[in-house]
Amino acid sequence: MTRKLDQIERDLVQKVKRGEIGRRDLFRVSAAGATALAMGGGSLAVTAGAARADTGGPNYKDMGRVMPIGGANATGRWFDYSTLITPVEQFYVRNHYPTPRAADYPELDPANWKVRIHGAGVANPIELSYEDLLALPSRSIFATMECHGNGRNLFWEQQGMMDVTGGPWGLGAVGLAEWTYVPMSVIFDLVGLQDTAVEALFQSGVDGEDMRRPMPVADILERPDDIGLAYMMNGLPLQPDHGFPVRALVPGWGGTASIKWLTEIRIEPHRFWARLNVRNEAYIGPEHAADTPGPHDEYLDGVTAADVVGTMVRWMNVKSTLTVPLVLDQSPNLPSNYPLDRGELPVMTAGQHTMAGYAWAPDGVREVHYRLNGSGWQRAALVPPNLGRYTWVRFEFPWDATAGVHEIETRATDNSGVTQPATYPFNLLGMTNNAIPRFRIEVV
Amino acid sequence: MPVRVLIPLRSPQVRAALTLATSAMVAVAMMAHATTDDTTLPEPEVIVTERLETWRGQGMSDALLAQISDGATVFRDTCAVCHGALGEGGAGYATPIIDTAALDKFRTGHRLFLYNRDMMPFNEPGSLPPETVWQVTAFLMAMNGWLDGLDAPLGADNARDVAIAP
Repeated sequence: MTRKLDQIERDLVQKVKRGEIGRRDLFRVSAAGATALAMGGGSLAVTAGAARADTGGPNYKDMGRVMPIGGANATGRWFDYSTLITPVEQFYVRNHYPTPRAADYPELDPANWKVRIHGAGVANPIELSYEDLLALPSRSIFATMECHGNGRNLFWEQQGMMDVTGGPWGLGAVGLAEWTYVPMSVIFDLVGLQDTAVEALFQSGVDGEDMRRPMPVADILERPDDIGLAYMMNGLPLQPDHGFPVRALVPGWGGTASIKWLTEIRIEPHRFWARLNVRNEAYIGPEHAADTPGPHDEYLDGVTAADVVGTMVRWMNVKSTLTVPLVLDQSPNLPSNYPLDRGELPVMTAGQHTMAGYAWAPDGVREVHYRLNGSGWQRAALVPPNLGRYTWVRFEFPWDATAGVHEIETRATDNSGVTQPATYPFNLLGMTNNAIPRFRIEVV
Repeated sequence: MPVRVLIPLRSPQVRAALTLATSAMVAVAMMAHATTDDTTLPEPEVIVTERLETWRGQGMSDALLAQISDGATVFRDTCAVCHGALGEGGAGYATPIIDTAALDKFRTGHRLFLYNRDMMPFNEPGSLPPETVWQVTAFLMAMNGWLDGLDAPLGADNARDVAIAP
């Protein structure tokens, strides 16, 4: 049965690639040198930006025809990354619904937008307009944004954990941007945060009604200047796909915490249990203890105490990637527009190459190592600047590639001394796999 | 040519009865009544036609029936390749989208329309004009039993108030 479905999927993918069903982007792949990877498959026919201009809608949705999408999603093309700052057009998109836009939801028009900050955990509930928000003190920081599911394919490809479920993200659900935001320290001063406050529920109210996630107040108070309400990305107003006009910003945590199209923060003296910290975006597996709800907690989205069998994902971890596509052989859903067919290896020409990659960690990256075909680890050169906390750094190393099939592994170490592991513990929803990635390459 | 007259099957009992097995039986039964010209009438159209007739019998307006019927054609031509002939799931997308909870999260006809408008068809979002998207949205809503009591065709002026009610 699996084999048969597999064949059907492969046939469909081939039809899409031949244009018989309809053709979307085929990626042009490049490594450090423009000619380093000689790939079949045509050129990038339509950029995401052009697609939006054509249709008037967001239409970022490039993950592949057979994944359970249900929302606007696009992977970043990590095998094409070259810049330190990720341009918005190349930034991954992970939305649970179609991108809501002001044309359909007038409350997202900056002239109408408001955010309400209230609850029993504050002394002075407030409502801010867009204009009010922009008039408040702001900060800008460089920070990666990363989906919890980034690297999920590694569970299937490298660890054979076929029970892991979720969208088939490779290593492109991460990017670095400069974010401009009003810090929670400013917000807390305005509302008069009470000592009794336990959790803050960040809620869209415009996106799907279950798009809300709690964050413990204690976690915010650890770094209230770093977390806030963001309204600019790379120096421009947020794009609709990224939460226009205002989203939460929680650097270092997975993207789920940074709720987009934010209109409400409710701060209460109890905890919240909702879809986005119980049924999804949670660690569920034998190596992860379950959270314990309290007697006065609040349940949302149809969640009950019996549903709490895991623990919500918080911090991301240290990771690295080469700018080379992963070989996808075991993935249940091969993205139809992936530059490689199932099991296909990227191809390079023999000779001297500069291999490039990225490494990131909430604490910032101290060093990156690589090894060829299981030999000894060697240090890669970090490419300045290395901006430290919340960011990534580019790295590179020379490789005199000889004909044959090779495997390159990359391993980053963060500023706390934590290094990527060889394998990552099973969790059902495929969260935060930061195992050392293995890139297989055919040299001709 | 297949008869493009319409049908609905909106009662829960009828919906529950519409398993693949019964649809095959309905198809066979309908085939028995078909004229020689209609012997190639495909099964999904038989099902849809029967449903439309049921809805007509329940008093659904001609305008809405026509919209749903047009939506059935759109679905057949554009959506069935992935979702299966009657939304039961197919090779491109295995999760059924008719008679399941898969669409419940959209909550209203308006949000389902926006999804279809912005995200579908998968290979070429934005390729269908809004009127066509409303048609196929109405078809999906009707087949899931969510257009009870609606009179006018589904559209921007009423879809926010048409609930997706599991």
